[in-house]
Amino acid sequence: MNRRNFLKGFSLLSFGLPATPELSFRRERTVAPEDFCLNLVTDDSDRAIPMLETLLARALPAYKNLKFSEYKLAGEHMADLVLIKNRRLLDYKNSADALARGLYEIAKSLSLPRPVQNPVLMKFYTEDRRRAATTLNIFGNNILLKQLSLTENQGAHEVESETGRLTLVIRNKSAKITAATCRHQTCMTMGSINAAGQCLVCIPSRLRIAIEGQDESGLDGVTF
Amino acid sequence: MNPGLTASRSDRVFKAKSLQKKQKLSRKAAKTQRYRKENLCVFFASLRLCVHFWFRLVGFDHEKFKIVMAMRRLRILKNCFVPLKRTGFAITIFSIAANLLFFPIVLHAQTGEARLFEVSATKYLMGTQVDVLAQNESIQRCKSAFYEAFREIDRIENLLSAQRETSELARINQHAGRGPVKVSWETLAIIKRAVEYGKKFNGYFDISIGPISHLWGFGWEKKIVVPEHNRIVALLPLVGYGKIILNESDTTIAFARDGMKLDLGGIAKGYAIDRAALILRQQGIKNFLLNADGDIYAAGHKSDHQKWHVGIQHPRSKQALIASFELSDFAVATSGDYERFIEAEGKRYHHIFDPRTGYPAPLTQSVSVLAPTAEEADAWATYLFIIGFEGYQKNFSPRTPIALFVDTNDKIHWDAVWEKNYLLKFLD
Repeated sequence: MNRRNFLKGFSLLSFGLPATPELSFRRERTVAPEDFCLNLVTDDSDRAIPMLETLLARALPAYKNLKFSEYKLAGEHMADLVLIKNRRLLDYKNSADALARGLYEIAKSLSLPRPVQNPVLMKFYTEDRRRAATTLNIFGNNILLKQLSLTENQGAHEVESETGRLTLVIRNKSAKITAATCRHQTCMTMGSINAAGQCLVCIPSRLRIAIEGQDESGLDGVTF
Repeated sequence: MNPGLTASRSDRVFKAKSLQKKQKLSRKAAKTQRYRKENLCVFFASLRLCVHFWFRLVGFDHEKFKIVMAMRRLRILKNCFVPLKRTGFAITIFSIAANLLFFPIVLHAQTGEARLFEVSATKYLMGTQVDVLAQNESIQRCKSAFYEAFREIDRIENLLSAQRETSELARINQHAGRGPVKVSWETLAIIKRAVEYGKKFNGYFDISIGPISHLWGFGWEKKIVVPEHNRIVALLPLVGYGKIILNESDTTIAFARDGMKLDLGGIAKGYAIDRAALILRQQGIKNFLLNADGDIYAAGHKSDHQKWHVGIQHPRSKQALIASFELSDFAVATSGDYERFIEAEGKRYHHIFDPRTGYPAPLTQSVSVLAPTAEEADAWATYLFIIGFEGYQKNFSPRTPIALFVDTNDKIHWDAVWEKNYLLKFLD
C-alpha cells in the first residue's frame, strides 16, 4: 500500500467512524435504561402537556424516544396521575428523586385527584415488546367506551353505540364479534384478534375494538 | 410465520431495469470515470459534513440522516484499496484537513441531541381506522396538526363517500344520469384523474364500476350477495369511463346512460392520505407515518438512523406477515382479496372487480405497490391486482411502479429493486 492509498483510507475511515451508526458509540445510549409508563387522566390537557414535556426532558434525559398517546374518555372519571416504572407502581408523593418531585408539583397544580367529566387519558411510555396483550379497548365514535381484560374468559359483552349494537366474546385470550345489528356484517367475518395492535372495526355502528400495545415485530405500520 | 408460501425472484423485471443503466465504455475510460467519481464523492461528502456541522453549531435546523446517506455512498472499505490518481490528491488532503478540523465538533454534536416524542393518534374515519404516528419535539404541535389532518380527511369523506347521502358523489350517482350535475372543482379534478388512470390502464381500472359493486353489495350500505350471472351481464353496458361526461368550463358531470354509478374506492382513500400528509407538512411535522386501512404514506425518518419500518400482511392469515421493508417519503398500498369478501359454494368472492367481466378478478391474492403518492399507489394496486403478475411482466415499462405479488398458487413475485432500495426482508 503506498502513501496515497493510506491517506485516502485513513481519511475515509476517520470520516466514517463518527457518522456511521453501526460503528459508533452512540448505540448504548439509545437504549432506554428502564421500562417506564406514565398515565394521566385530566380535563386540562393543554396545561398538563407542556409541564410534563419540560419535566420529562429535565428528569429523564436518557429516554430519547418516549411514546405519547391520548384517548378521550366518556362519563365521569377520577382525574389522577399514575407512574409505573419497571412494572411497579411508584408512589411519587413519597419519593425524593427529581421526577417524583416534579410530578408532585404537577399533580398539585392540576389539583389531582378529583372527579371530572369527559376527561382525556394521556400516556407517556417506552416501548415494551415483552408485554403480552392484556387489555382490550372499545372505542365508539373515537371515544374510549370500555376497557376489558383479555386474560380471563368472559361471556358475551354487548357493545352499543348510537347507530348499532354488537356482541363481543372473549375466550382463550382472543376476542371475536359473534353478532351485529348491521346489514352486511363484515365485522363478523373478520375473525378473532389476539395480538397487541390488532383491531376489529364495525363500520355502520362506528365501533372499533383494539388490543392495546404494539405488535411484536416492532413495525410502524402494516399494509394489507 | 409464513405458512405455505414459496418465493420466486422475478429476474426478468430486474434485468429489464439494469440493462438500461449499463453503458459500454472502453476499459481505460471506465477506469478514469470511476476515479473521478470516487474523488468527487470524497470531496462532496467532506463538503456536506462541513456544512452540516457548521449549521449544527449555529443551531440551524437540518436533517442529520443526509450525512448517513452520504457516508453510505462512499462505500468506505471498498474505496480504501483503490489506487488514487494524481488529480484526487488535493481533494484527499482537503478532506483530511476538514476531518481534523471538524472531528471534535462531530463528538460535540452527538451529545446535544434533541428530545423527540413519538406521538400517535387513531381515529375512525372513511369507514376505517386511520393511524398517525409522528416524531416531534412538541406534543402540542403534533396534536393540532393531527386535528387539522383528520379534519381534512373528514372533509374529503364528505365530498367523495358513496355511503353518505349528502356527499357530492352520492348526488352525482343519483342525478347525473338525467343531466349535468354541478360539482366542486376538487371533485371534478379527482374524477378527471381517475378517468385518466382508466385510459392509462386500458380500462382495467374503472371508477364507473359502481353498478356492478352495488349489485354485489361491496362498499355500499347493503347485504353482500352473489348475484345471478344474467343480472351482471345486463349491467356491464353501464360500465365504462368513456361514458362519464366531464365539463371543465362549468364544472359539471353527466353520465351518458341512466343508472351509471361511480365508485371511487380505488382512489379516494389515497387522495385523502395525500391531502392529510400535505396538511401535516404544512403544520411543520416532518417525520410522520399515515396509515389508513393499509394504505401508508411515510414522510421523513423514524429516528436519526432509522427509516419507517412497514410490514406486508399475509393474505391468508391475519397474524402473519410476509415481509417487511423500509419506507421514507414514499407511499405503499395493497389490494387484497381478504379484507372484504364472502364465501359461497366453496368459492371466495372479493371486492375488486374486473370491469370487463363484472366478476372479482381471479389472478391474485394480494399486490403491494410502492409509489410517490398514496393516490398513485392505490390506483396502481387496484390495476395490478386485476391484471396479475403475468400482465405486470408483459406491460412492464420504466414507469411501472415497484410491486410485490402473491398469486393464487401462493407464490410470491417481487421486483428486485424493492429488495435493493427499500431493504425488503422476507420473514420466514
